[in-house]
Amino acid sequence: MKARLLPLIKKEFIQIFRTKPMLGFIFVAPVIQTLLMGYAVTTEVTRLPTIICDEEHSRYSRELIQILRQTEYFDVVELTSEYPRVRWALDEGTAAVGIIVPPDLTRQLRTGLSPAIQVVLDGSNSNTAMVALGYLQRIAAGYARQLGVEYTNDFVTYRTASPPVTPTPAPRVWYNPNFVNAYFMVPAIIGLILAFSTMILTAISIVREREVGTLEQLMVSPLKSYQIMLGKIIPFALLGFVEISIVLVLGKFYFQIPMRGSFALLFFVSLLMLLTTLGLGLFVSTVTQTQQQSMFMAWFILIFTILMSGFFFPIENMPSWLQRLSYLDPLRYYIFCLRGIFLKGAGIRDLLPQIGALALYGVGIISFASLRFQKRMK
Amino acid sequence: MISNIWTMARKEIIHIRRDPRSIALLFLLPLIMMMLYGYAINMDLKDVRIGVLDQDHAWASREVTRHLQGSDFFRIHRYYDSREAVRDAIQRGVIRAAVIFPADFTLKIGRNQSPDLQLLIDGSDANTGKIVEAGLLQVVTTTRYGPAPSPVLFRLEPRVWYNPEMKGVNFIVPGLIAVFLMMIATILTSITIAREKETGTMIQLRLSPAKPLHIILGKVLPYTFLAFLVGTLMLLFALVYYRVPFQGSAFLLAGLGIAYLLAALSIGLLASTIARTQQVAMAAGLLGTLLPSIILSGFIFPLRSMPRILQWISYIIPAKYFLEIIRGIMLKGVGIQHLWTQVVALLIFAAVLIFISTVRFRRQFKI
Repeated sequence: MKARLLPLIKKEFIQIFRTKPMLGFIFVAPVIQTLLMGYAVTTEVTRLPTIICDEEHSRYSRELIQILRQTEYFDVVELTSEYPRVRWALDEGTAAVGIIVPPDLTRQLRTGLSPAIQVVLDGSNSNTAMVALGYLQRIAAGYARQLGVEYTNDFVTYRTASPPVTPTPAPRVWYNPNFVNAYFMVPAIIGLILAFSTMILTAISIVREREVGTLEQLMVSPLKSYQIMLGKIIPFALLGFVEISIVLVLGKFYFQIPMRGSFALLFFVSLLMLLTTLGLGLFVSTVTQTQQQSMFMAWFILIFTILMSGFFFPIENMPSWLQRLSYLDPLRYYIFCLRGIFLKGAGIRDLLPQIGALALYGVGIISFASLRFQKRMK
Repeated sequence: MISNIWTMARKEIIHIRRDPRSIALLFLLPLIMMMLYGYAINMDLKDVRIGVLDQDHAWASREVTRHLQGSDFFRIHRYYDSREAVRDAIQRGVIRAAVIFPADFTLKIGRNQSPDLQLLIDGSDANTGKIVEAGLLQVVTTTRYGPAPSPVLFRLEPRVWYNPEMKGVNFIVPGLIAVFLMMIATILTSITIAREKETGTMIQLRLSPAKPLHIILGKVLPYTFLAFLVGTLMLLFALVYYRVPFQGSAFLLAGLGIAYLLAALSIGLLASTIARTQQVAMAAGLLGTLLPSIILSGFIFPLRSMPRILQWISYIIPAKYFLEIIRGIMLKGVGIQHLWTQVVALLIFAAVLIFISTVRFRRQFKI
């Protein structure tokens, strides 16, 4: 059997490496993707372009601007005294926040009228708007406290009880104390790359052989159908492992991600994940007829696996019907395992439910898909 | 010239019609995806599972716990009775954070001393961890442990424009249209020329009187139309199912949408002229558009928080411009005077890529 399988695998490798761009996908793309993920994926909102409309130019507005400028959250891009400029800037998108200081701020403050400072937020980015409002409220409260202390000695009088005690919180952040983004993203990228290269490439390469007619040639050869299948799958599995290694090396030496768990466990779960992605690729090839169809299907599955896995966004945020749907996503289990192994040093005992689910998924999908594949071969 | 382009387009239409299952997938899959991901992509954390270890069992610790319970942000998953149990739960990812009250918590508050309070946070998810830490600190420090007058010196009066209820779907769904259209358009065109090379029909094309540019334009046109239909369908879905407001002009969006489609299709076209097989062309097209248009476009992740170099790269991502266009027209209701730079950028992008494709194609043509 080996003697028959080996030439088939060799043929597949020749086919893969004959095209130069393919080498790029396999060796260069993971590097670029890892760098991109390591640096770009942040949900932190900083340097919000802010326009300030201030007619009075009082000491208070100057102080407020000063405070805003000191934080990294706001970037004062324009100072104006005309209100319509605010509208223009937000329409144009050059500012996301507008702060409108009332023209008689000083008078109102001095007479204790508690003036309102208007804050305009660009809600078309709801996320940014919400975060910006939170920042502003905190900054305003701080400034009010600062002014309050001064005002007690000055002209506004009010009762002050002894300041209330508050506990001293001592936050301890485990696993990633400095909240380094790359620590979190890079393990996940392994999952993404596996899903991308193994699933899509397997699916298309099988459908292609069918389209061109070379699959029929293989069928009339003395090869058994499972051998043909293995010959298609094994090369991509090997490539998958090469890609994992590339990302691992990059993560370890470039991003210096701590690897607290065991490599053996990492490779074991990766093997399970490979079974799943190869199985999905095989499955796609059995339900499609042209390369374009299989690309559409693979694309659909790929987006599903990325977006429902908790890769970018925690699954807890989703509505419950989508949370249930996310159990169908193999990447969900795999990423959970990877992050656990890398950062928490999680062992097999901690990850048992996830590993179990992934094993079930992998074995299930690959047997189902290979049954379908063999049926179609006949 | 027109007739050459038209003949080419007709030939391509025959190809498209010959594969009705692709067409079915082309219209069906985006709709399913729109339905799933409008709600799945949600940036506001809610119901974060936390654990509590209360060694105090007195009013002050209960007061803090009550506040934690009362916030939308946290959900107390369990009360633990030992540090080991807490540690284990965080290790297994059951809870994201834990609050540990020392035994003398209430006692110290009664004596007007500031008691220690330990917060354990799982930092492995950096983004979420940061938000969880800030949330916990806020609850702990704003809980009232006694009477506290707060003078109101001035107020903030927030007004949210364009999306007053700050609905996440209004932000996400137009973005989905932009991102999905990009990938669909690339998959569609990336095979066109590669298929001719793979099946050997390039020679026949060479014998035809059509010029390379005509062939390219003839190939792009039908797919522009097809992608435009898919885009319209997605837009209707967004309006009907998600009830995303549409403030601006539909004609303007249609016009600028075509500019975006040209840019998107030209990426597929370029991939097609470079690759020798459909497989490579499609993989290259998807690889070149999938992550960049999700990550570097401002779709979800704020570009301004990224390193400078990535911000520069984002200027060559067509999805970035169309996101500004579609959100601008749908949510802000702005007109062309605010969007012309984006359109110009898209058109330049498309022109450059089509030019490179034509040059490459002509070179392959001559051999």
